[in-house]
This record gives sequence, C-alpha cells and structure tokens, in this order.
Amino acid sequence: MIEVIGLNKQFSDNVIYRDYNKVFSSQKVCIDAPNGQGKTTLLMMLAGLEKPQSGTFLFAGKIPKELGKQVAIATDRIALPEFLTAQQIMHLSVNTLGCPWPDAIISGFNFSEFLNTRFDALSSGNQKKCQLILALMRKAPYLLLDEPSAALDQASIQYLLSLLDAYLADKPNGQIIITCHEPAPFVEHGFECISL
Amino acid sequence: MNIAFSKHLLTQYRVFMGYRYLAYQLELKQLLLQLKSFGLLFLVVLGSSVLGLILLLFLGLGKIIDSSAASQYSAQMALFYLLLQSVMLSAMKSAIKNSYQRLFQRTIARSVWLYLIDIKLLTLSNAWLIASVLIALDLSLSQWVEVPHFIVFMLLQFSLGILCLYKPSALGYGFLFSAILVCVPIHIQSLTYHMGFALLFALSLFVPVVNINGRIAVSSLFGFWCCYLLNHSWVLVWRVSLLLSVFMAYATLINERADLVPIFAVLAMAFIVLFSSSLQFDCGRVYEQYRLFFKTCEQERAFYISQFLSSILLFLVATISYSVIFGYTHIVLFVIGNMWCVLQVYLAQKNQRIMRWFG
Repeated sequence: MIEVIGLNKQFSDNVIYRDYNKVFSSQKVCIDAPNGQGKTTLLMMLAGLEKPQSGTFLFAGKIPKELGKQVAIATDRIALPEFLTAQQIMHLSVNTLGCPWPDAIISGFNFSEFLNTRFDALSSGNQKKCQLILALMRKAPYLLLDEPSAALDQASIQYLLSLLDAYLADKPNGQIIITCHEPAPFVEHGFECISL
Repeated sequence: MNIAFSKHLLTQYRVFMGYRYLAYQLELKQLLLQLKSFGLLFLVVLGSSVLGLILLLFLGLGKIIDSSAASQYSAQMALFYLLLQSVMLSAMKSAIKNSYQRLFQRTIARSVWLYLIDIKLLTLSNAWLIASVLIALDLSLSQWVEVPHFIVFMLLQFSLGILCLYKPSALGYGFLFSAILVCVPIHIQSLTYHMGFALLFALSLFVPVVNINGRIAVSSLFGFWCCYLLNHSWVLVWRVSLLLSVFMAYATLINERADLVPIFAVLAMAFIVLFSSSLQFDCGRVYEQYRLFFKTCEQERAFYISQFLSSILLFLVATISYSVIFGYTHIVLFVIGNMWCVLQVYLAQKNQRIMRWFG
C-alpha cells in the first residue's frame, strides 16, 4: 500500500498538488486523469526521481531506505541514451543493477530483432517496449508504469497484461501503479481505476 | 508564355533565397550570441592576445604561399588551415544548410535551388577562403607563376567546404590520409603535396563509413562515455584541432623568437586549459540529460563524478603531448595549469548558460 501525505508540488507558478493526501490501497491501480494533472509527476516523485516541495510517501507504512531497490519505473520522462543501441542500454542496466539478462521479456515483446538498433532510431512503440523491459527486469516490489500501452501494438499489450497478471505472485506486499487514458483492458485484468 | 513562366520561376527563386538568407542570419545570430558567452571566458583567459592571433593566421597563410624554403612545413601548414576551416564550417553547417527545416525546404523549392543556395552561403561563410582570395588578388603575375600550389590550395578550400556540408565522413578520412602524407619524410614540391591532398580527398569519397558503435559492449560508465565520445566525435575533433593549432603556432613563434619561450609557454598552457576544460560544457549537458536514467540504475553519484573525467583527461593528454613534442617541462606551470583546469571545469559545470553554446 502506498500512502501520500500532505504533498505539495509546483513548477514555478503552476501548482500541481496542494496538501494532497491519497491512499493507494489496491494492489493494482490505474490512475486516469486529464493531461497536465500531474500523473507522471506523481509517479516520478514516488520513484524518488523528482522532489516535492513538501510531503511524505509511505510504502507499506514506512519510508523505504533504499527506494531504488524497491521501486521500478517506466516513463518517457527518463531520457535513455539515444546514441546507444537498445542492447547496450539494457547491458548497462543489467550490469549496474546486477539483474539477469531479460531474455524471456525481450522475446515476449518480440524485441530481439531491434536489440542492435540505436535508441533514437527505434519507433515510439519499440522505445516504449525498451522502457518496459528495463523496468520489468528489475522485479522490484513496486512497479510504476506511465502510459504503458501507449504506442504498443495489440500483441504487445496482451503480453504486457499477462506479465502484469503474474507480476505480484511472488511479491505479497508489492503494488503496480499505472497511468492510462484507455484503462478498459487493465480494468479487465483486475486494475482499480481511480482519479487523482 | 515562356517569359512569363521564367519570370514566375525567378520570383519563386528570389522568395526562397530570401527565406534562406533570413534563416541563415537568424541561426548565425544565435550562434554569435552563444559565442559571446564563450568569448567572455576566452577574453578573461586570453584577452590581450586576440590581435596577435589574427596576425598569426595571416603569418600562416604567408608560410603556405612561400614554400621555397621548406615544402613539407608549408604543406603541413596548408593541411592545418584546411582542418581549421573545416572545423569552423562544421560549426556553421546547420546555419548554412538550414538543416532543421531541410524537409520543409524540399516541399517548397526545387532540389537544385537548395544546393545552389547552400553553395552561395557556404562561400559567404568561408572566411578562410575569402582571406586566401584577398591575398591571391594582391599577387602579381610573376608571383603567381612561382606559387601555382596556392591555386590548388584555394580549390581545396572550396571543395572541402562542399565535403563538409554533404560528405563529412570523406573529410575525416581525407585528413587522416593527408596527415600521413605530410608526416612522411620525403622531399617533394609544394604543388605535388597539394595535388596529393586533392587526390586523397577525392579517393576518400569512396571509403565506406565504418560503424563500430553497436559492437562496443557498454557495461560501465567508462563504456558509456567512450560511446558518447565516439558518437559525438565533433566535441573532440574541434578541440583537438584547436589544440593542434596552438602547438603549430607555438612551434612557429619559438622559431621566430626563442628568447620569449617562457611567455609563449604560459600562453600555450592557457589555451590548453581553455580548450580542454570547455569539454565540460558538453559533458555537463550529458549529465543533465541522463541523470535520471543513472539514478534508476543507482549510479547517480558515480555518474556525477565521471562527467568531469573527460575534460581532465583531455587536459592531461594535451599537456603531456606538449611536453613531449617541445621538450618543455616546467613542473610549476604544469601544476598551476592542472589547478586552473579543475577550476575552469568547475566554472563550466556551474555556468549552464554558457553550456548551451556547445550543444
């Protein structure tokens, strides 16, 4: 369970969250809100990649010591090195994080033939797959996915849904939070759709 | 009917040319604005020697023309001038071609017009070629007969400008092959050297581009930075070219005034510090861009530190090369240069506004 307490966040004069409190109690949450409401910003703050002006995030009632090991995130807001190939990016992540090479996920997304393509030469769908593979391979208890189905083909969406179905099987305290403008397929797979 | 059509075509061409001039001016203005930021840094370090540098450039052109004493030295100087010209034109390439709106241009004008105006703007931008033409116009007929290689040199200046716009890979290979030619200890005439350059650059057009990027295993920050520098070799090419120019100028000056070696050494060190520390502008930008990615990889601290290493390494390589080539090792100067470089790198990291110029 993730709990947001007294969150205040603004970009210059643009206030995104003012004394915002929320409890995400379901194991699978789909946040649906209009553009510019701060969905991605919330995920970034939960992952510790963006700092709020004030506020606290509790994961299973605690502030985790090593957030990086607890949370995995996939979002367009994290720029991946565009001059490296997808394989080089994954290799770098696998080596620094000490995860096994994500063979199964790569073939599940039909991504093998694009491994040697530079990231900036990948289609938007394949860039999304690359982000998802990087997040999913970490097997972190908390998985945050920003618009995971955007630009993906139907087969890949189905594969993603099957992965998410099984993701929490060995993580009893884990949680998946996604943001999505077309939540229907995720709701069918047990996600609770909530607004901000 | 035909006249009316030609008139219409001419009007269209003029309108397109107007657009390209406007785009060129705007991009150049942006470039100069950014240059102003770097210029401030430059003036602080080397303000008093600017006039001397301009005179030095003309002195170099004189050495290219007057090759009677040492044709190899003259050829080296010519190649070096071509390298500097290519560096300058590469920086202006986007303004000359209006690269960002290239596809848009294709939708509103004929392809041949694009190339025609590219060449016009290229000639207008090539200050090195203009300087050579000015000198050439000042030569008498009898002098022309004595320096036929200078015509080939000017043709090379023009052709290499075109290569710079459309086939930069050939430019790289051409410089590599030509550098080998001018370093081989043989005695040939200046004209032969220049014809050799022309031939080597022409042959370079047929050398395929080798892409080794995907073959490098990137498993650490070291691999990441290597790949970055390999893919953005321009950030090193122009700095190394300018460092070479410092070495060439230093060699020329100590030949002329051996009694002023300590002063020239300090000046050379100032240039080395300036050019190597400015690499931090690029590395700092890379750090900002990929900071979050490395944070997700739990490498943020290591990534932060690693951004400073490229400029420090470049400084060390340049200083050691300088000491080895000229046999001038002054430990105090080296230590001060090192501290100065670290300070400059720190300033470059802090100054985000200046940083944008090097993008």
